[in-house]
Amino acid sequence: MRKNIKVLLSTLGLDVHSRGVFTVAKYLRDSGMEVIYIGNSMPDEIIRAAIQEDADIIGVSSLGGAHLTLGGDLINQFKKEGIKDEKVFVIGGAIPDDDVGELKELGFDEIFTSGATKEEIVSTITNIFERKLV
Amino acid sequence: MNKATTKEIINKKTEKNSINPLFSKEALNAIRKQFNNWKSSSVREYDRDNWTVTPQTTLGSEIPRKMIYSPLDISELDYTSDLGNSGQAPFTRGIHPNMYRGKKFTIRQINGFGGPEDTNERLKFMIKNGATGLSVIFDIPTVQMYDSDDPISKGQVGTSGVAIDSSSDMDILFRDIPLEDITISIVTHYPSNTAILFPMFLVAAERRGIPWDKLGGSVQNDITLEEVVRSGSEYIPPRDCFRIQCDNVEFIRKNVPNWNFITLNGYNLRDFGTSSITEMAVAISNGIQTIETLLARGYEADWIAKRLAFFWSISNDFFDEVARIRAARRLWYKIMKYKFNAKDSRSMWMRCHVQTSGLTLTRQEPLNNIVRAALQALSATFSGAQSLHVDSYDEAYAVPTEESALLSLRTQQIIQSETAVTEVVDPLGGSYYIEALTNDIEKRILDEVSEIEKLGGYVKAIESGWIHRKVANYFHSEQAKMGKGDIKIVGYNCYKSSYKTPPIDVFKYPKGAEERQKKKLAKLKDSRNSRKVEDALKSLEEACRSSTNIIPYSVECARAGCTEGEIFKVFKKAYGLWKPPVFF
Amino acid sequence: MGYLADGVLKKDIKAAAKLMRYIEEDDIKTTGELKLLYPHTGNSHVIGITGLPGSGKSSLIDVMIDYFKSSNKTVGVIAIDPTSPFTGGSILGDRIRMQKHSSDDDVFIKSLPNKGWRGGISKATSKMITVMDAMGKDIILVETAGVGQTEVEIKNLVHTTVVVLVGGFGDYIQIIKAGILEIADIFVINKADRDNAKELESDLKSMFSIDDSKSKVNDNGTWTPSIYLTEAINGKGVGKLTKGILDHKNCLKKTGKFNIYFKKKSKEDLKEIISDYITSLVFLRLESDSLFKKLVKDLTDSSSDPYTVAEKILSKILSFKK
Repeated sequence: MRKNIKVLLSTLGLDVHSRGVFTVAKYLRDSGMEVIYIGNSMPDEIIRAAIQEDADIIGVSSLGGAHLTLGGDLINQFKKEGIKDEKVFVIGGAIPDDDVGELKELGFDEIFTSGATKEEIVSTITNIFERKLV
Repeated sequence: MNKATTKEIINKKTEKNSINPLFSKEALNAIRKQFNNWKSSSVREYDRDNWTVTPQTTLGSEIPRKMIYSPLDISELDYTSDLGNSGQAPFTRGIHPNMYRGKKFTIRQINGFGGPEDTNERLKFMIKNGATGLSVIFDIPTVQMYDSDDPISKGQVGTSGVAIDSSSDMDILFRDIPLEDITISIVTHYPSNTAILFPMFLVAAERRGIPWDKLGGSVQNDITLEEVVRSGSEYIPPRDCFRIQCDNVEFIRKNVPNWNFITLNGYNLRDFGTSSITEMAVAISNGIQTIETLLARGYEADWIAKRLAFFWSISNDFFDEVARIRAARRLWYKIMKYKFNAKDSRSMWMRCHVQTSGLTLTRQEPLNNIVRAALQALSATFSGAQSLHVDSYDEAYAVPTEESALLSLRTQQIIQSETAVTEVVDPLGGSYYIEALTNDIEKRILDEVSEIEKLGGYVKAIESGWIHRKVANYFHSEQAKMGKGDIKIVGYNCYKSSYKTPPIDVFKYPKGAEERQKKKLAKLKDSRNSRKVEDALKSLEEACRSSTNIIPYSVECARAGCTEGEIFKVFKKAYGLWKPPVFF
Repeated sequence: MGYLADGVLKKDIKAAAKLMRYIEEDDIKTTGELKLLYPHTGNSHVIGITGLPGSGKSSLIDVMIDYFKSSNKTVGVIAIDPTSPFTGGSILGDRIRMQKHSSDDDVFIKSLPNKGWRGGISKATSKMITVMDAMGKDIILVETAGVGQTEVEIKNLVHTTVVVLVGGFGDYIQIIKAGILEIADIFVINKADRDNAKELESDLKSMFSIDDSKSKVNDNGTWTPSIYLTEAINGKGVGKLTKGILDHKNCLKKTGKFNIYFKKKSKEDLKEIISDYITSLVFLRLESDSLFKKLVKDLTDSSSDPYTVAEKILSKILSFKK
C-alpha cells in the first residue's frame, strides 16, 4: 500500500544553481515523500514528466530571474491540459517579495524564499496537499 | 601504472634537506617538563579530558584543535626551509617581500545586465568614476551557451548578466572602452564558454586595431565549474572539457601574453558545500593535471605557471583560513619545484584572489553579515592573499545595493587604513598555533591530492563521480549539523530574535533585452556570409575531433559571425553528451 | 469502471498514468481495469536492464531508446530506484538521464521506488507492464537498481535480461555472489574505453563458456549469452546491442518461448492475486475477531509459539486440521 505524496522537483530553465533544490529534495524524502528530480527543465518537459509520473506537487527552483515568465508558462500549460486543479504548484529560490502576489495570481499555491526551514517547507506542502487534493 | 604520487616525489626530494630546528633540544626538554607539570597540576581534569576539540563551523575543515599550542607542537620547525621570509622560498609568509606595504588589495566591481548596449553604458560610467579594472558577468543563457533566440533561453535573457550571442555583441559591449588601459575580468567560468566568448572578445579587439598583446585581464576557464558545480541541461564529457581548458591555456599564453588564462577555482566548489581541505586539493589537482598536459604538449613548466592563479573562499574558522592559505603557498611551491622542476620563482607563487563565503551569510538579521564579512576579510588579510572581494551584507537575498557595496569597500579600506595590520608582513607567522595548523593542513591537502592521483588524476575523479560523491557527503552531513545546531549560526539556529527578516530584493533588469537580441540575431544571420560560417563551423568540428588546439578555429568562427549556440552545438556534436552523477 | 482501461487502449497517457498511480496505491479499482486490459497484452518485448549503480544503465537506456525509435518502435520504461530505508521516502533520479525523451509522445517513462511494496516490487511491476503492454508499447524496458533481490524476482517478468557491468572496480565479483550473472541473456560491458574492459570480457567468457562474442542460438534452441562492449556516453556499440536484443527476441519467438513467458507471468499473477486475497481476508478476520486477538496475544505474551497459534487460526477459518 503506498499513499505517499509525490513531488516532481525541477530547476526552472537554465539556472546553474542546484544546492537549494537538492536540499529540498532531501527534506521531502526524509519526511516520507516520493521525490522525482528532473534537473534543469523547461515547462513542456515538466508537464510531461508530471503527467507520466502522476505527481501531486510540482516544485520548481528559480534563481535566475525567470520566475514570472517561465513560471507563468508552466502554469498555463497545465491549464491547457486541464489538469491544473489536480496539482499543487510551489516555487522557491530568489523571488522578490514584490513578485509573490503576482505568482499567486498566476496560480502558484506557495512561494518559498531563501531561509525557509525544513519544518516550514515540509509542513506547508503537506498542508496544501491535504487541503487541495485529499 | 605505478607512477610516483606528488607526495612521494616531494617527500623523497625534501628528506635530505638539512634541518636547523628553531628550538634546541635542551629548550624543548625544559618546556616539555614544565608543560607536563602544568597540565597535571593547573589544568582542570575536564580540560585534560577534552584537550582537543573539533570546531564545527560552516564549510570547516574538521581539524581538531588543542587547548593551547607551544613550541612542542612545532619542535621540528626550521625557519629557513619551512617558512623563509616573505617573497622567498618556500613562500609560506607571502609571495612578495613587502606584501601589503607595496600593493594594497585590488578592488574590482562586477557589472553585467541586459543587452551589451546596457552594460556598455555602465562600464563607461565606472571608468569615468575612476575604475581601473572591470568585471563582466554574463546572463544565464550566455553562460550555458545558448543563443538569446533559443527557446530554452526564454525569459532568462539579460536577467542576471549581459547577453552576448556573437562577436558583434562584444563590439557593442566594449565600444569606446580603452581596452589597452584597463584590465578586464571576463567571468566566463567554464572552459567551453571561455573557448567561445574569449575569441569573440579577441575579434572585437582586433576589429578596433588593438593588438592582443596589449590586452590585460583574466578568464576563469575551470573544469570544476563546468562539470562539478553547475546545474545544466547539457554537458560535454569531462576529458573533452579538460582538453578545451588546456587548449585555452595554451592559446592564451601564446597569443595574449598579458592575460591570465586560468583561475583555478576553489571558491565555487567550497560554497557549494565542501571542506576547506577538499577545496584546495581539488584546485591543486586540477593545476597539476593542467601543467602535466601542457608539458606533454612540449611546453615548459615555468612558461605555464607564471600566470597561473587561484581563487579561494574565506569562511568563518578564522585561524584555519589563515593557516590554509599559507599551507597552500608552501605546498604549491614544493609541487612546482620538486615535481615540475620549475626554475623561475614567479612560477612557484600561489597567487590568489579570495572572496568571503556567501554561504555563511544569513537573511536573518542581515547586519550581522557585516561583522562576518569583516572578520573573514581580516582573516584574508592575515593570510596574504593578493586580492579580495568582500561580500555585501545583503548578498544572501539581493543583488547588492550601492550602499551595501560601498560598505564592503569600506570594510577593506578600514582594515587597510585604520588597523595597521597591513604594515607588518605575515603578522601571525611564528605563532605556535598557526605554524602547527599550517603544517597539519599542508599534510591533509597533500593526502587528498594523492587520493585523487591514485584515482588516475582530477579528470578521472570527475568522470567516476568521486568528486560529486565526496561533495554530496560533506554537504549532507553539514546540513544535518546545521539543522541540529552543531554548527552554530547566530540569529538562525542560536540566539534567535523576533526581528522580521528583510524582504528579498532582486535587481530589476531592464525589459526588452530578449527582443532586442532576437532582432540582432536575425539581422546578423541575414548579413553574414553563410558559406564562411558553415566552413568555419566545419573546420572547428574537425579540430575538435583531432588533437589540434581548437581555439584558433573558434577565433575563425567568431570572425565569421558564428553565434555562441552554433559553436556549442559543434562541441556537443563532436564530443557527445555526458550526464554528471547526482548524489543525494 | 473501465474508463481508465479505455483510455489506456486508446494510448491516452493521462489515463495510463492515473491507472499506474492507483496500482502504486494498491487501489481496489485497478482490478476491474486490469481485467479489461489483459486480453490486449502479450505483444510487447519486455527487457530487463540491471547492474550496479554507476554502471551507466540509465545513460545506456537513453541511447537504446534512440535506436528503438529509429526502427519505429514505441517504448515504455519502468525505472526502479532504491528508496530511503528509514523514512519510506525516496528520491527517484533515473528519469533525468532520459530527459531528452520526455517531449516524445512515443516514450513513456515511469519511476518507481524499490521498497514499500507489500509482496515485493515484482507485483507492482507486473501490473505496470500490463498497462504499458496494453497501451501498445513495442518495447518495455525495466531498469532495476542491481543491489538486491529485485533482479531475480523480475527475471520472471521479462523476456530478455541484460546485465550491465563496468570493468575495473571489482564490482562484478559482488554480482557473482548475488547470483545475478546467472540470469543474464546478454552482458553489456559499459564504459568500454576503460582499461579493464577487455579483462572483464575474457573473465565472463571463461566463466560462462562463451566461445565468441556473437550470440548463439544452439541446435536445441537454447541461447548462449552474448557480450557487448559499449560506451553509452557516445553511443558506441549500442547499435550492436539493440540488434543483439532483437536476436534474442527472434530466438524466443522461433522456439515458442516468447509466449511461454507471458503464460508464466499470468500464472505468477494468478498466484499473487489469490494469495494476496486470501492473506488479506485472514488478516481482516484477525483484526476484528476477539478469539483471534486472544490467540495473537498469547503469542506476543510468549505463552505460545507461532506454529501452535497458526494451526489454531487456520483450523478455525479453513476447517483445516494438520
